Amino acid sequence: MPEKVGIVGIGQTKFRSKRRDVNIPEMIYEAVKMALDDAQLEPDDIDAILIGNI
Amino acid sequence: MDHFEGINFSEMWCGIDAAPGYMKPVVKIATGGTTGSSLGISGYYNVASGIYDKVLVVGWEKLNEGGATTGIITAFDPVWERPSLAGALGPLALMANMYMNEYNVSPETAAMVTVKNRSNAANNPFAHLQMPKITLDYVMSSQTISYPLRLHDCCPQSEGACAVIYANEKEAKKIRDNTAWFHSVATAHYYTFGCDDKMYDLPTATIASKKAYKKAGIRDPVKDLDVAEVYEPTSWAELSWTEALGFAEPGKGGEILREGITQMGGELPVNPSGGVLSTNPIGATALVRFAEAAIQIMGRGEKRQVPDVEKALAMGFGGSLWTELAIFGNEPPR
Repeated sequence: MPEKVGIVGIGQTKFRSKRRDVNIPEMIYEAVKMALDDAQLEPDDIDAILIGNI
Repeated sequence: MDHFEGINFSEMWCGIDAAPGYMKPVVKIATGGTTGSSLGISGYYNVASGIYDKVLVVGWEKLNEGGATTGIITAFDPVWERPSLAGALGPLALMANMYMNEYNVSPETAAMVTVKNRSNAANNPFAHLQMPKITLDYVMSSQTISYPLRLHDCCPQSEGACAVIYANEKEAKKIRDNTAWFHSVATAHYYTFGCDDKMYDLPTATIASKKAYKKAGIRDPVKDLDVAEVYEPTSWAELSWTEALGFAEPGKGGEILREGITQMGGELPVNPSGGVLSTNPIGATALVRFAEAAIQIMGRGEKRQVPDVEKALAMGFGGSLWTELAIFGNEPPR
C-alpha cells in the first residue's frame, strides 16, 4: 500500500512580467523560504528536492 | 531547459543554492507546460513510495532571460506544423476556432471567462494581473492577436516560483492539522502529429479525469468536488476543458458559466485564484494549481476562499495536448 501523502507547506513569490529585482536562485529562494516557514521546517528536515522549469 | 532561460544546467545550481539541496537528492523535471504538474505528481510518488518522508517540490520560470517561443517552435515539424501550429498561440487559436465552429459558441462567451478569472485574481494577492474593474467590453475591444484570440483571451507571461512541501501521514500530523491530502493523481501524456489531432475537446483531460475520479470516489464532479483549479491558457480553453473534465456536456461550458456554476459562490467555482489567465510562470503554473487547490482545502484562501472545501481538483496542461490531474481532500484517503 502506498503511504498517504499530504501538502504541509506552501510558498509563492510575487509574479511579474519581469523579475529584474532578483536572479534565478534569489527568486526561487523567496518561495522556498516561505514554504519552509509555513511548515515550520528547517532545510535539514527535507529529504529530497524536485525542481523544474519549462 | 537551456533554450528557455539561456543558462546551462540552471537546475543544478538552483537546486543547491536556492533550494536546500546540498548533499541531497536533487531531481530536475521538465515536461513543458505540464512541468508544474509533473513535479507535483512526482512529489506524490516520491513520498507515497515510502522512500522519503518529506520532499520539497519547486517550479519556477524566468523567461525574460531566454526565449520561450523560440524554444517551443523547435518542438514542431518544420514543414507541416510550423506554419499554422508553431509556438503556444498557434495551436490554442486553432483549438478555439474549431471549438467555436463545432459548438456555435460566441466570442463573448469566452470573454466572460476572462472577466470571471481576472475578477477572482483581484482577491488573490499573489496573482500577476490585477484588473479588479475588468469588463466584457474591455476584453472584447482588445486587439486580435491570432483569430479568434484577443489579447485578453490569453494568459500573460509571468516570472516567479512556487514551492510546496510534501509529507507522509506520520510527519504531516506533526506539522499541521489542516493538511491537504492527495486522494488521486492521473497523467495522460501522448504524442500525436499536430495536423492529425482532434484540436478541441482535449481527449487527455477526459481520460485523466475518469481515472482520477474513479480512484478518489468522485461520481459527479460538479456535486462531489467543491472547487477546481483548471489550467486555462486561454479563455476558450476553460470553456472546452471544463467540458472535457465532465463538468458540462460538450459545447455547454459556456452554459455552466452563465448559470453561475463555475463562478465564485456557484456549485463548483473554477479558478478562484484567477487561474492561468491571470498568472503564468510556465514551469510553476501547474504547481500553482496544486498549491491553490491545497490552500482551498486548508481554508487559507482569505478573500478567494470557497466555503467548506472538502474535495478540490488541480489540473496541469501542456506538451502535445497532455493533461495531469490531482484530487485533494481534507481527510486522509481511506
